[in-house]
Amino acid sequence: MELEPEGLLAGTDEHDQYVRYKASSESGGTPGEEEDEESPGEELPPIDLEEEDTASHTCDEDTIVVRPLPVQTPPSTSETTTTYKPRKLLHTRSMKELFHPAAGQAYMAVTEEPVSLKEALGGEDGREWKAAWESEVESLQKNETWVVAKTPPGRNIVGCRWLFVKKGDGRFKVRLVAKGVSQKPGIDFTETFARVAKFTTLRVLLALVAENDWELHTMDVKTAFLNGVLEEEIYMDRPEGLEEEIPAGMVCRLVKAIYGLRKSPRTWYQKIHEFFLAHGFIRSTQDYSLYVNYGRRVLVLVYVDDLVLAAAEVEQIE
Amino acid sequence: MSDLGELTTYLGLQISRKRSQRLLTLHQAKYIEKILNRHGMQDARPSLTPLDPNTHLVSNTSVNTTEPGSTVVDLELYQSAVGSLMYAMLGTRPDIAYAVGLVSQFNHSPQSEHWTAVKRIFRYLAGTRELKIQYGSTNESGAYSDADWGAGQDRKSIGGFVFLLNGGAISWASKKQTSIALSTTEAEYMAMTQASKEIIWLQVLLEELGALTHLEQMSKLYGDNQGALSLARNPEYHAWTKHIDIQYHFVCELVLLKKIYLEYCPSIDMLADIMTNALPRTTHDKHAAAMGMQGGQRKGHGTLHEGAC
Repeated sequence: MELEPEGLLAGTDEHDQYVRYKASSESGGTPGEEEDEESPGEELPPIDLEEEDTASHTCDEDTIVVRPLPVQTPPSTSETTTTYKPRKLLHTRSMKELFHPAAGQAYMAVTEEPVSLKEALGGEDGREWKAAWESEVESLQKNETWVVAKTPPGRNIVGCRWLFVKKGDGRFKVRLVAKGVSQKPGIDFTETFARVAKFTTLRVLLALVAENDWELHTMDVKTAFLNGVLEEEIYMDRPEGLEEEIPAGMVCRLVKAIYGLRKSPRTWYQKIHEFFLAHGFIRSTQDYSLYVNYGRRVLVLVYVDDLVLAAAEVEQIE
Repeated sequence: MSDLGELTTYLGLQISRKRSQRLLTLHQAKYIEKILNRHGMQDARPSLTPLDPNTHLVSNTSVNTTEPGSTVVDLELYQSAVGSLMYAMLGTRPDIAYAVGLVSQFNHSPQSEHWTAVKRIFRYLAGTRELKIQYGSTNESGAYSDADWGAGQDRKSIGGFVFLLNGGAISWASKKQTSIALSTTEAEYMAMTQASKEIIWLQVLLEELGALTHLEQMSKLYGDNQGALSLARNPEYHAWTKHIDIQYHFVCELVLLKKIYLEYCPSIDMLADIMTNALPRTTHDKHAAAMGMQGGQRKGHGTLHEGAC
């Protein structure tokens, strides 16, 4: 089937993993066409790199997009003109903006963040991006995220890319993410389940905190996933910009669970579970994301790398 | 790890406290703003209730939705709108639970009247963005369950429950029952079972959290149907309960084990009513307030006719 970029971010080569493809309009009009489409051409959700804000996005149905989609890379040329054919549907105001006829290239303006290292460093915020990128590289090296290895024959090499996000408060964040969707179940990873907090537990906790006038704090873990040690053998491509450190023909054998891998959240949970057990916490049998320390009277609720701490005395919050 | 100080937002819920009065409020104004903008409803005319009590939504099975142009409502748009509402409901908005449950029944083939209902929920949210659940204003705790018998198009009943702790709602659900009830008693009985499963979970959680004082309050389950209450208290052999599946006798057992105490609550005070019915404005507001929901100055309050919404 002939594929054609639908419009999102089309026209640049670096971020083709975000471009959604749909059956070209010549073959359109077949029954069930709508259901076949991956997702509506909504604007990219803010790609959230950081801990504090995971809230509004992580639980959102639209964050799935944060992970790169499986790529069937078409010969992408910068001349690709995106033909937009409006579907017959109910238009709301926001949709009108989204599907504005001139939007083919204009999507670039919607997502201000650069999509590649080259673009970031060459752009107007080049200096800020460079600083943020260097800090991420340093963090990766400090955590000994990978060891350089020879390309193993017959192994799946996971791709990777840099994510660039401008935070609401003006900070610049860069993070290396693996293209986890290319990992194959049973070969590259096995169990991926990672539990999430129940809203009910949170509300029960808050109701009790209010009643007993407990302290309520939030904590985040910087680059949380890099704390998790991988059990599987996973090889990753050389990241852009680090070609000098990793010679050609070599790849990175991952030691730590970097963002984007299918198993990273689970690895992180195992890590934090051990941490809490070592510090005298007991995991709730009713909600596995809740930890209680009876001696110190501290409760902790875990949602990925977002922690809520409730304690009777403020000193107990370390 | 770094301490980021007082907790103010978590998973999109905004939290604020008045510690001198031991009050804690929970709301989602930011998220609601975001979904209103996303669906172009930010300037919508506010509505006072999430559902019109006088319209009955049915699914139109005669329309073949696989044919292009057969439906006026975009499927993805409809489903994503319902999904946005669902997240708001799960967080802090028990007052829209029934409405969201209803519109999500038409996710497979929405028609224009269903889309109108979805927009009305958005309009209701637009007027009540700041509505908050407040804990601590009363020390009301307890579990309420209710059912609306044979309400659906397929004659299945809607069951629902609301649990209060420290004056605010902590857990709620509105669910279409899986089998058809032959009487209001049966429908209520099944709803009580649904609620008691949650109660048991909650009781253990409270125990683990050391909130032993609340355990007793949390073992009281209020129902508004005397038939269902007597049936659960005294499981005599009644020919007409023979077909109620074993699982629904679960609640009987819990009563026998004294894990749950059943109490009668007159229908007028049954706040789980909001989980099973499209209520008129006064009742809706009353039950919402009983769940600890307050604030949320309704925009354009004076300019709206009550009949117009």
